[in-house]
Amino acid sequence: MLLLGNFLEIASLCLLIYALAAVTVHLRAGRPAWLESACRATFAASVMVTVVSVLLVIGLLTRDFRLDYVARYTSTTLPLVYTLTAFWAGQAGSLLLWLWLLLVFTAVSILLYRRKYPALMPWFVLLTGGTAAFFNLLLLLFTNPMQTLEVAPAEGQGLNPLLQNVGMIFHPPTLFVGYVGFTVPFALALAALLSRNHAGEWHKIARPWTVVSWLFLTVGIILGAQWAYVELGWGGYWAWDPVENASFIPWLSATALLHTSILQNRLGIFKKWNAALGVLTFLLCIFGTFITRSGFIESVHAFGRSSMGYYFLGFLLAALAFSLAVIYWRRRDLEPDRKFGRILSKEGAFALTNLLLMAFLAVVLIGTVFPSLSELFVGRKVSVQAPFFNKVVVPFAMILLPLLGICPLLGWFRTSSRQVLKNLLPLAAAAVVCGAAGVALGLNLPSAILGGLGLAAVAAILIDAGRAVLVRRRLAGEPLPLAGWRTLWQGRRRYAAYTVHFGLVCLCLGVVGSSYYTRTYEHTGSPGSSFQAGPYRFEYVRMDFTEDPEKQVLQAILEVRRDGQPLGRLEPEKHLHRLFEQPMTEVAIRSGLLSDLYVIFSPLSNDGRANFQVLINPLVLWIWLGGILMALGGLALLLPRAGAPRAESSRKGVTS
Amino acid sequence: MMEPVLILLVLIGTVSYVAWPWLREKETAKTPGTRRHEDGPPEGRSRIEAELEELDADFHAGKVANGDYAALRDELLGRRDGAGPADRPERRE
Repeated sequence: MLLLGNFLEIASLCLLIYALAAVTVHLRAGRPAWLESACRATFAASVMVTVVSVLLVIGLLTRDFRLDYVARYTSTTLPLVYTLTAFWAGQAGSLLLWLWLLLVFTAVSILLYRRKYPALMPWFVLLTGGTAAFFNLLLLLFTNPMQTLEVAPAEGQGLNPLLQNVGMIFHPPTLFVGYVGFTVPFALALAALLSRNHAGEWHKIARPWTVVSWLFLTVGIILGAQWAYVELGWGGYWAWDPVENASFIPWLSATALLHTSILQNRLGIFKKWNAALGVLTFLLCIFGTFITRSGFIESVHAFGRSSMGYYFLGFLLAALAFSLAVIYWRRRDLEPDRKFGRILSKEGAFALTNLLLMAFLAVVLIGTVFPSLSELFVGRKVSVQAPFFNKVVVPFAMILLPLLGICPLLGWFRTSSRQVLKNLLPLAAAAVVCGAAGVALGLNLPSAILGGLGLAAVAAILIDAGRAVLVRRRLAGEPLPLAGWRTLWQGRRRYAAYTVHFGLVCLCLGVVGSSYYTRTYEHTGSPGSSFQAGPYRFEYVRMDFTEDPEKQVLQAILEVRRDGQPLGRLEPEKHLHRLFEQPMTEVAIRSGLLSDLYVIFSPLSNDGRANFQVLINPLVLWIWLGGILMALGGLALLLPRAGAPRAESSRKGVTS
Repeated sequence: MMEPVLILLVLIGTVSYVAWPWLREKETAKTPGTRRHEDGPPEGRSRIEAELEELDADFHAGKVANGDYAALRDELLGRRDGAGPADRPERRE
């Protein structure tokens, strides 16, 4: 089957190149058979890459060590689930996953849109097919998952123990769906401009893709943070590592796009901006892949230096130049339908949020590439570390949180200053009171301000929802529960967005709590010793040793009490994997709504003497709960808009 | 032995599948690739009515001042009068 796999990889590239050529001929000659044939070639390529993926899965499951990839990332003792997830553990597998997702999304889009928006299809196939051909070429040139070894080893090298975690089952594919999904809005935006069809409403066609991709990117980032928290054993969840930033940067531009596309939808403004954001988000996803795979930036998550980076850079620059040229060339099709109104309006708040997100994006981007740029231009690598980003994020959050609170209280088009003041004053007062109470309770100033602003933002959301229900009850004469339900259902997208905002506030509060108020305690002792860590009393009961085919495990048993009341046992571990020399720390965590108890165990001698580091991390659970709320809100954003006719988005699917 | 045969079958099947549109090209009408399309039908009445409803809700929730509300409502009513009867389904080629 290995010969078949290699054949299919080459055949899919040939088909994609054929599709590009066929579409080009169609655009010049206008013969529909060329386009139809190009679409079929894309479908066939997607089926072929699917089969290649299945062959790799079979290779992994059967531990076929003739395949270089299987030998590198699995072993005979690796548990089944991690044998499967080894699919995306390495460069070749993750690129194959990217290519497969891209081709599946392309095929689904063609099936969905070719009858509805026929004029977009040639350019859409050209752009997505071109991107897929690029990835297919990389697979064949640099990192072929179907590459075979001359002599199959008896045992594989095994999977990095850090990747043997539940988070790694879901985090990479979720992130990839987000990354790859943004190819569709990008291709639709440029296809609309190039074909001069739907230029003012490509964002509506692309909306499900934008929302789903944003949703997956959000979930992927949160899962990545959760994995880092549980698996890396340093007590944190986000280190502003370049590869972490690489996922956060497109998330910022995608969030900006989601906001301004509402303005384009409602008011017909920000059309050029949205087209640029659609392109930018895609390019930033490619940039993230470039960072991870090129060795351009040093990161613990990166795959190491590779000449593949030059290809990525070339593709990135070419796509950027092409996209900018198209937007400039078709700028007249992107003229706004009306002038931008007052800043004191919902659209004004949206625009400010957008500017803020873009400014934050620029800072994170510059901070991420700065070491490489400084090396390039000054000859010295100036690294930008987490403290820089942590300092920058606070003022941004201090502006963003009030905007989250102000926005729900503003109406569309314009709101009088007096009205704004009337609505905002009670909230501003509440924020000040909360902040002052925080300071009085011993919080530091930034966290007291952020806490006050976050609570005011949540209050604003609740007040807006409450007022809407009361207005409906008064106007429609409905009983309160019915008015509540109907308000919620009628404005489902608005309340979905509020849920996301609510989640974001929870997440911000969690970040503030865990960043500023973590307490660390340390104890070195033998079994039978006990120690105090804040309000918790630990008793080190014993150290156990176990062994399985994959690893040796040292486990410390700790009894925990608070105010004399037993809370249960914590069992931090140290793993020594058979195929890896580096011992791995498995922390023990006791999560609570107010704080996490986080224990790191380092055995010092065979008689059980060990070192314990205990961290009390406040509000970490709020980060994960915030992430869940954001994901639920994102899901609800996919519900159709109230009052929107089913065929609304396809109103202009006309070719003269 | 099995694999080359399989590859050959895949090759034949793929070429036939991709080339199929050429075999039935005569049946298909010619469509241009990049011409500017006509404007769509006028803005749907239901969409403007939804905007009116939202403006009313904003007004009653105290987000829009009296003067602004009247002006915006007039504007939307004007747009509604000029709008088509309802959002129409897409015109096909």
